[in-house]
Amino acid sequence: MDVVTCHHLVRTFGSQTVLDGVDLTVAPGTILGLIGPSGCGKTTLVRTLLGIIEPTSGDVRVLGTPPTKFSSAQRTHIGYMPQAPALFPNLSIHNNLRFAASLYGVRRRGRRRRLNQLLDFVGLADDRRKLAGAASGGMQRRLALAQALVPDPELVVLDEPTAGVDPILRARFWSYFRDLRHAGRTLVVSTQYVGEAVDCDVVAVMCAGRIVAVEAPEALRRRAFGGDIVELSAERGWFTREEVDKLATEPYVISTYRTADGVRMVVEDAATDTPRLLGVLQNADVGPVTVNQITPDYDEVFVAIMREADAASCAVPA
Amino acid sequence: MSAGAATLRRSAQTFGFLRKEAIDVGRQPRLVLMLVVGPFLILLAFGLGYRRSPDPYRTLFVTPAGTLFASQVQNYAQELGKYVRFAGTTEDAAGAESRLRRGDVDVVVEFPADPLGTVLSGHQASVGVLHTRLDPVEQTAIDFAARLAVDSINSQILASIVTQGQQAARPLGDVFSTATAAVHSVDSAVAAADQAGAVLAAKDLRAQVGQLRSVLERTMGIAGQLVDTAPGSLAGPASTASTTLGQLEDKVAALQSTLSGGALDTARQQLADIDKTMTTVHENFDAFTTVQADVLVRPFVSQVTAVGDGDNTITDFYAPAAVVLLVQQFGVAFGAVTFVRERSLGTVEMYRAGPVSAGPLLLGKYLGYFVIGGVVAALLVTLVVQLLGVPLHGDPAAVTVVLGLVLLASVGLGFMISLMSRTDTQAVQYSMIVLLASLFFSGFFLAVERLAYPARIISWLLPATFGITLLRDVMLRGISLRPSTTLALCAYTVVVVLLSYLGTRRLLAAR
Repeated sequence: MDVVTCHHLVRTFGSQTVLDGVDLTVAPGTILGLIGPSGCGKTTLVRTLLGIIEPTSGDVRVLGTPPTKFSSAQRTHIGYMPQAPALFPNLSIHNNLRFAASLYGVRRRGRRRRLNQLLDFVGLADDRRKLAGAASGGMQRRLALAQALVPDPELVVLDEPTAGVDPILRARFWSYFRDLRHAGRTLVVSTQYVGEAVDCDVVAVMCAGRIVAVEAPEALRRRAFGGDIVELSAERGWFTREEVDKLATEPYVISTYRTADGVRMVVEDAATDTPRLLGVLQNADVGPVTVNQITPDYDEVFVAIMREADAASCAVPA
Repeated sequence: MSAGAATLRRSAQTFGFLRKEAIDVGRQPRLVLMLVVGPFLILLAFGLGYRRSPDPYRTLFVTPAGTLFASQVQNYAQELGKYVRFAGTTEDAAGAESRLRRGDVDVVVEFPADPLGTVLSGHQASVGVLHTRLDPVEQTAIDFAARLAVDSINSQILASIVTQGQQAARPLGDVFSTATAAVHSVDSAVAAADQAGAVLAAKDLRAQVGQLRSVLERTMGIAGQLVDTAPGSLAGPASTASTTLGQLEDKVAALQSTLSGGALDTARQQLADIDKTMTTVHENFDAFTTVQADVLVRPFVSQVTAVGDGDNTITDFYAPAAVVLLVQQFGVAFGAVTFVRERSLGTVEMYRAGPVSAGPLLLGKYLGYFVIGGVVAALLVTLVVQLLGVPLHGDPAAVTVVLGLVLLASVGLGFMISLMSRTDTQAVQYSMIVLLASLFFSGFFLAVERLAYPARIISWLLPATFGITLLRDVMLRGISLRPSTTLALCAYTVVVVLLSYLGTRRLLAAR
């Protein structure tokens, strides 16, 4: 059974539609990345999944139950890390964690061991006595993650956990997330960092309250451009227009565009189509040619998908 | 999940909130110190610095030349020494007012130019009092002192007149002796069965009584009237003597008639009655001439006794109210920021997502503030009783009940403020308004009974109003808790707890 299912989920605030017919499923033991620009509705979707916000219409179920009808017991199966760490500055790191444990009713027996495990997991064991208010931003983020994990939840919902975090700590966080996934947990992680898509099992791209793509990262990349990208460079330094036009007429070539270094082409399958392209160019007497498969970064993928979805509403320059 | 597990979780949550609030406040030792030591030091400074009697007003008297007050005014001032410090006399009213405006003197008292003429024309003579004080309390004090001063002057004048009357009446003692001798002469003649001698002696007796009455009325005229019209007159001895003398004359006339008829036995009885009446008149006369004039004109003095320990200092009076006010402020201030602060920290979001319900959250917070506030209240009461010497006549358990209820009600009021406020600043401002309202409406400075009815509604919206009434009763009067006030405070507490619970549920509900 899917951990999360959303069907035509709509949420409006006054006249503003923040979630506009969201359809989404999250399978158990996966990391779903919710990626989208600021204000696209990621946090509203996360809060709806947690039952903090009621949907205006549509159906949403988390662990088989509509979130607004969660019992207290059901809520203990979900861990939540809000966008801004919800910590008490006058309490030590350990006491903040202990307070979270009391909220989830973690039994006294085994509590100490559980908290120590979590502090070790997020690397805060040596700083347990430090006041949360005196901890660095990174420490606070790690503590917030540990709080979310206190009840040993089946589903962990993380709202932009890496926002404003340095790249080293971001990598560490994703390492934590993968560990949790390996332990059988399901994670919903919203992020503005498109590059983090590569760490997810499934990526849902959001734009203006809609989910415009839900794919595995690699499939998303292919979907963005319609195929694989190869870059052709001639030793002589250029391709004539006729040469490029000839390549574009090949049936396996999807699109062609020039770059500073040569020509990029989107082809159906780089592995099979590269030799065919080289054959065409040899016949055209272009001279020595180098062909490289290009793996575009996810920023480019994201921009391409946004353009495809709705350039105006997603505010992506054409 | 079983009901037992849910109960355990709720208990853990409640204890978690309690512990969190206690640690949170405990991490701010300076705040706790300020909560206990600060108010205590303020009370101590107030107790040491407050003077029960204000400085006497420097008073300049304006006495027009030739009036009877000119020579007496300093005596009047001395008699009012508690309120008045004599700053001299002048005939220049305008100059006196200038000195008042410059601040050289505090009060100017202006006597009328012709008081006797005013009084003889049937009007009261007015004594003007000028001052420059703005404080309504001081204005009332000056007004009160002026009334006392005028009453004192009036009494002094009356006493002087009565004294003159008493001195004038003293020679009447000889006339009484002669009249008494005449009674004895009649008695001797009757005893000797000498009818003619008895008739003759009775005639002499009648003449003596007539003279006695005539002289008495003449010499005691003014004094007798003053005594009769004085407030609460003790049926003035002089007036009684005059009346009785009239009756005596009638009795002597009857005796003469009896003696003329020769009924000596009847005459003997009448004579005994006359002798008795004469003695009464003499006693009344003696009373009039020997009682001090001051007592005659001011027969009553007030003697005020408070139930419990009436000898309270100003610190004793204010200390219970200050303790209640501080306990209320502790509860309101901490309660008022709690949810606002949690909202700004983002922890409310965590509660909404987590298995937290309103009951354990509210109960945990209540217990946290109750424990800390209870310690603060206990320390404050101990300090004011042990170090300031404020009396604790009642049961210490009753003090605990009062402060406990005030704390619960105040924390609830604070929670309501917190649930209504959007920002820290707003919450702090609301709690300051509660404090300000408490200073004016709770009975801290002014008794609630002095407020008009609509204003009293504000009073009863403040936990301090109930607490101050109850704690003063227990500590200063030594009486037990008034059931009506205690029940009202309990009802108030229940209402605010209920409203806080509903507000907290709303806070945690899905939006």
